[in-house]
Amino acid sequence: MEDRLKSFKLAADAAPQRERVLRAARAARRERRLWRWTWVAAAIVLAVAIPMNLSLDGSAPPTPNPLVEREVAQFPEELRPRARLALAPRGNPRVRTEVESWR
Amino acid sequence: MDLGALYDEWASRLLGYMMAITRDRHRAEDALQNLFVKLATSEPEMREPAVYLFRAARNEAIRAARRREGPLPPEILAPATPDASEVASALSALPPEQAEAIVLHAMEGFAFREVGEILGIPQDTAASRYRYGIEKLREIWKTD
Repeated sequence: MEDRLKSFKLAADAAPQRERVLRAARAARRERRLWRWTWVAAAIVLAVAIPMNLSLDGSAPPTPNPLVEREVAQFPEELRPRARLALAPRGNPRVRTEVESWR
Repeated sequence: MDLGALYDEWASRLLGYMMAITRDRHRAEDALQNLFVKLATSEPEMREPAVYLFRAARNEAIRAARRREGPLPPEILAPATPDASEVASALSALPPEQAEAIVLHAMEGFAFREVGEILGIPQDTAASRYRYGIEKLREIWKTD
């Protein structure tokens, strides 16, 4: 009886569905690859473009202004400003130059 | 992964297996499409392609089948002889898990270890399902 069973194989005609199935599978693969590149592009923007842009905008840490510090040093101790805020303006060099020339 | 070559090599057997599970050609076709979409997007490494594909096909077919009822379609068996209808109807009389073990071991030639992997059961359980199924088939054919 087992020989009788072994004389059969599973086989259904899958040819009519071939194009439909492969078209759907290839479209899904294309979509997946598109998403993958979208994520890569997003990662590049996050890792490189945003930090570079911020550094060009002058958001570097503030540098002490020697003029201000010299002036503050002349004050009596009790009148000196407490360092709750940065003594120097945040670092856009172009703005700082303008302020210094004005002073 | 060459999807066309994969389809040409496996789709007929996988569709037959899915029809054996769903007992419905349309559901089996949908399940086959889902299977190939998943293969295309996940591009898995298949160490044992036959075991991997039959297992994945089974999962898709079970998802697609609302319930496993109705006779086993005789057109899933090749060669298409009058005996195929008789074998299909005898397999339909078995509990699905026994019929599945018989189809995979006797017809598809999988070892019991592979049958166990496909069905997600231990090898011994696969073997005992097969033996119980064979005993029942003997009884069915004796009474016929």
